[in-house]
Amino acid sequence: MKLVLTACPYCGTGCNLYLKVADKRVVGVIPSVSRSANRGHLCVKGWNAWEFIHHSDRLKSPLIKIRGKFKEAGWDDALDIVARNFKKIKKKYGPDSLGIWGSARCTNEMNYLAQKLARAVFGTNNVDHCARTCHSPTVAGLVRSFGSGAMTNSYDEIPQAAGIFAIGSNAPEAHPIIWWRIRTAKDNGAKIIVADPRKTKLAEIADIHLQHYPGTDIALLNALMHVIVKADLHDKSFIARCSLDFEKLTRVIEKYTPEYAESITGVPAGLIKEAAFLYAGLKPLSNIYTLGITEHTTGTENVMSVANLAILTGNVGKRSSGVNPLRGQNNVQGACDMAALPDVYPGYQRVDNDEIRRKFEAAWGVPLSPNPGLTVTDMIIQASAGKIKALYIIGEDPMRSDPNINHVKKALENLEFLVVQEIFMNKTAEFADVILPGASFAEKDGTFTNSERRIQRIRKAIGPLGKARPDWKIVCDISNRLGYAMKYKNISEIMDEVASLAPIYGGVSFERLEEDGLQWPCPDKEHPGTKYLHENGKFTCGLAKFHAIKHRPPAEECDSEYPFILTTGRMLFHYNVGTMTRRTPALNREYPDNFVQINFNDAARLGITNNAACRVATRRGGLKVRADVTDKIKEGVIWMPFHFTEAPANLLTKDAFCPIARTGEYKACAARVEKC
Amino acid sequence: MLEKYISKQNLKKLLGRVIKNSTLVAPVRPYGEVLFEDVKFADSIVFDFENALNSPKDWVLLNDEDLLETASPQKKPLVIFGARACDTKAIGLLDKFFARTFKDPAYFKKRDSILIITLACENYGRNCFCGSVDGGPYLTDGFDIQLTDIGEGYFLEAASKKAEGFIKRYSGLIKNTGAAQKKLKEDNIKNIKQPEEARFSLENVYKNIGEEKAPDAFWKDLAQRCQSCGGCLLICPACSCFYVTDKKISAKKIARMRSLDACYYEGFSRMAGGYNPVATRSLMMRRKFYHKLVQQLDEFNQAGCTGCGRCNEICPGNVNWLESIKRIDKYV
Amino acid sequence: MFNRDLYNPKMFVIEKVESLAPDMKLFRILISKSEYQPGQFAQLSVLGVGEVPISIASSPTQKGCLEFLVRKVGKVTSAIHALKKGDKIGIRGPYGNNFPLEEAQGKEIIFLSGGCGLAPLRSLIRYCLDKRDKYGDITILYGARTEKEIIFKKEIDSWKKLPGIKVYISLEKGPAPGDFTIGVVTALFDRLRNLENKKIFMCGSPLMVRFAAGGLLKLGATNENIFVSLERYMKCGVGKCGHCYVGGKYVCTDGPVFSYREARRLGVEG
Repeated sequence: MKLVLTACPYCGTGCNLYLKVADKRVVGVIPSVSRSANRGHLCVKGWNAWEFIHHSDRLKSPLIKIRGKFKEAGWDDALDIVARNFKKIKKKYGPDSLGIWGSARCTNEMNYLAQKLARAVFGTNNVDHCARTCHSPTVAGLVRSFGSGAMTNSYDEIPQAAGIFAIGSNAPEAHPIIWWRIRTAKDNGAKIIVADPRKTKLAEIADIHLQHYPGTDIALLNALMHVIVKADLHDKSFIARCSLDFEKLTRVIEKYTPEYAESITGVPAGLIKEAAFLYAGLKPLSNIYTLGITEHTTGTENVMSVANLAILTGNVGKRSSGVNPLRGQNNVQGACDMAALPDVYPGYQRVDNDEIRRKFEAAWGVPLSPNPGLTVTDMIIQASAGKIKALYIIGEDPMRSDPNINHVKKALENLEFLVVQEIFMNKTAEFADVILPGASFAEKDGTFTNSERRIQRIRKAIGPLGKARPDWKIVCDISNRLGYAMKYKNISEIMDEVASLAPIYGGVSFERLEEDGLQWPCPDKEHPGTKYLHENGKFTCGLAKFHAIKHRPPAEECDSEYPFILTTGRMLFHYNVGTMTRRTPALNREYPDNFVQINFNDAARLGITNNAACRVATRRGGLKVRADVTDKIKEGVIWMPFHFTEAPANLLTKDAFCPIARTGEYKACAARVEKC
Repeated sequence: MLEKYISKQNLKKLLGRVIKNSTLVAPVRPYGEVLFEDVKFADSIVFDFENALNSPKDWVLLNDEDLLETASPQKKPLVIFGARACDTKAIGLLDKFFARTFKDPAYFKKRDSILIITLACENYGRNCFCGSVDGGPYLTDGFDIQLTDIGEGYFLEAASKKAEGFIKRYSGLIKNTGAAQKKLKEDNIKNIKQPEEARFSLENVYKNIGEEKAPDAFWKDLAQRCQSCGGCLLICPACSCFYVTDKKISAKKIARMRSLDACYYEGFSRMAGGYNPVATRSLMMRRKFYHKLVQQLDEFNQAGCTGCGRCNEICPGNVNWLESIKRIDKYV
Repeated sequence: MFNRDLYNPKMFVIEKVESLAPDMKLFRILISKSEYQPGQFAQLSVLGVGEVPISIASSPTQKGCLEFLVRKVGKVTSAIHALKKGDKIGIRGPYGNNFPLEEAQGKEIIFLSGGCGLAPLRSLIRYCLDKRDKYGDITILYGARTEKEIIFKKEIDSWKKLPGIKVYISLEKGPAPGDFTIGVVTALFDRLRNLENKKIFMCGSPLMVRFAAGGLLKLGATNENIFVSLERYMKCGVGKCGHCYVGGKYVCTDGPVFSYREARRLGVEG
């Protein structure tokens, strides 16, 4: 038995773990103790991350759809069909009729090549990935507020914070090893303020729990700022030295008295005041947020509101003090860094900036399009409208992870050509013309970048199963067939190329990542990496910006026909659409089926008992699930996880999107519940 | 008990020869941390370490093992070098457990061909508390071969027939010993002082758990912290609970695979139909403490914990098994 | 033993499948030697799907056959329900301890069960009936949800006709023609007398066992003369996997039959 050090394929925490390999099978996991991302800890998914790898459902051969049925094929045949079709469609409809979806589950190297394929070979900027469904408001919002859209601090600074403000974050279930740090902070005496519509495990240890309605974050944050400014507790010198547009903020928060906020959020005014006073007195204070605030039509504005609060109190640019979005996927940070995004090149350099574009044209040897491309949200909309004709989707399942999946179905049916690259068959792949089998995290080398901007090595433990291939090689093969040479002797050369083009990755090389990875910005070979951003109030964009933000309700509000707010989310034991966790016996045994969380009083009123079957419906569709009757959720609100493909929560959610970041409003739509 | 001496140089030579005719599992440092792994080059073996991240139990109780496979998997004998007293003692407990009532064929079909060379510790590690549970740092019995560092070489003890056969095989490298070396060994052992933080009375703990002295608030605090990761149980060298899944491992073969399970998972004792006699985290934790510190002492005269401390390293809830036991020790 | 080795089941041909109630089927397998005791269970296997512990419903006095009542609740039991006469099924066992028959000799016996809990008791009932002179008067209390869900109907009717045997049945929901009582099985307790010297054998859902035991103790039964067959999630059936572990005992090897005193000491009320 040998042990191979790699990184966990689940969430954005990026825990380092060893895969135990015996007789060419991965048979177990233990955590790494010395690596700082997790310091010896793993959550239940990490400990069980070995078991789905060899599942008999793994795709082991390319598949081609012939007369509606999938037939096994050789790589040459499959890749020839792919290349031929992209060439044909590009010729007929133009380069912007094509699109590539990179993958937040795959390596930096693969994502870099995927966006290079789109830009240099297809000739379009239509490249995006699933960050769109969760944290693109973070990227958009923090870029506007600070100039840089990533977690400002490192994980190890959290235990030393005097205060933690967590809004829209269920760290105990979504980021357990970051929750470990919050737990440690509490053990060290920190004060915790939590804003969440549900009484999560995080809320249980909070000193103050603000239980607001989904979609009312702006009102809540504005009210906190109102109290702080009125009590003269804001950091005047920091504001004067490091920020712009403070007057814009003061003007807009004027009307957000605690009483006004109470009428919107459902949180008692007295509690809001108490929270504001507590918040203002805690230094250093870490602001933490996740999808509870980003997955809204006001997602970008919610993020900027949190940034407002941080700048107001000088809680950014210091050790243990900052704005920390916890990224979801194992490599969503990396996929963004590598620019599987429609408006930037690797390292967040804008495609419509002439000087930058010329640099990339020189490096890649071809002219590049100056027009920002479409997001995955808009590629789906345009596919329905007939403007997008062909898609290459890598490691994503929009038929389960996009809101209102009926609308996704229409779009995929309308495509002329669809290639899906995956490790397991899924609902999206069923629409494909060609399916290419990729390698799991245990079967390839490369790098992932975690939420604290740490670029870490993943290492190959076993060979790809069956005829599967490492994803970066597949992209190269397609590119080569389309006449653009991608010849890399080994994967580390790809990272060397990235380092030469993206200043934040400037000093990164596989050698330098061996010991403990590197945190970007890392501009050159001597630079040790950066622990926290915006040090001394020197923001990436110079001065931080306040934004005047007004409350706007969710796109679909409740009415008499659909009186509940349906909000969706994640559980500890499953991961996203369940592709991997539903195939892991220990995890699936914990929660084998879907359910809806409903408040005791609401359930009593509807005659629904615990574990009884009930029907949840929205204007998009209905599902029969069992009821989890509890006091952990507010009256009038129901919660459902989206992990169960046979009862997909996204059948119910609404395809309403944040206009700036194009992220769906998974966290709020109108629903009704009746007993079965 | 056979008593011999082997110089450090000769030990390296011996291990080099073992690699040629057996599978050798030894501590190595491939990524900066000490791990047990199959070893191909004797030069890569480390001798100076606290304990490895994984325990040698991985080779004795296999994870992802086919219960329907009756043939013995090892063609070559297996030698485990560098196991600490705590890990060896834990394997001894597993030997007793898997022979209890029914002899487990999957466990024993390879057990006889495994020889364990224990390396006695020279001092306590960061998380260790073996002295409080009679798990080390030095074993008086229940081992194949035990080596104690006495300077230029090791005092070698052999306590099983398997070990005596092994020594005969490498007799060229192993020398006879005498009273002076024995005294050196005994002095070294006496000099290992257990730190105060690692001390508690197992007798007291046994009594306090059996009589349920710890209040509800104690269990509630632990229960709130526990993240149900299962890590403490999956990494414990003395744990053996497993689940069984039928898996299709190739086009023609269906296997019935057993993998280590964790009693802190709610599904561990949940019945079809949903009823769970141990549904809350408090009950699960009580069950673990009782099983390891009362029942196994009753049945095997050995605690289900040998003080290796790995569970303290990996707990993301800061539960701290050692501190919890010390708190129970103090309840009157 | 029916196994090939401890973990390897032996394959047997199903001789008969009978539907006794919605979701409940009785499977009969022919064997050469009836080497088991009433109260024991076996692990039934569908290779590729999984294994489940099922009580043996036949008595060793029924020469040459083994019967199992399987209720369809999950993945494996659904796969077993899909099997027909002539199909093969894997068996490991018999495992567990048995009802203390020697203790019950010469005594009056009460059999108390609910739902499919009658299946393991049927093994014991038939054994006692086949060795009738060894045992005293027998009272059978059985609770089912509805009339359709009464299992072993024909046999129960035949038992009613035997001298020294009394059968009382309760139904949670009507219609209840004839001599059924509406209610849960504890509603039948008014028929019981002089429980101090009788042996009581129980099997049912955890809730039923708890309430029934409570009622029986009030009527003079003792913790030592009530015996309960406990049900637990089991994987190996041989005391290794740990899933049935409770209060220091493995239900699959130290049980599943325990005196109520032992069951209470295990911290278990059902």
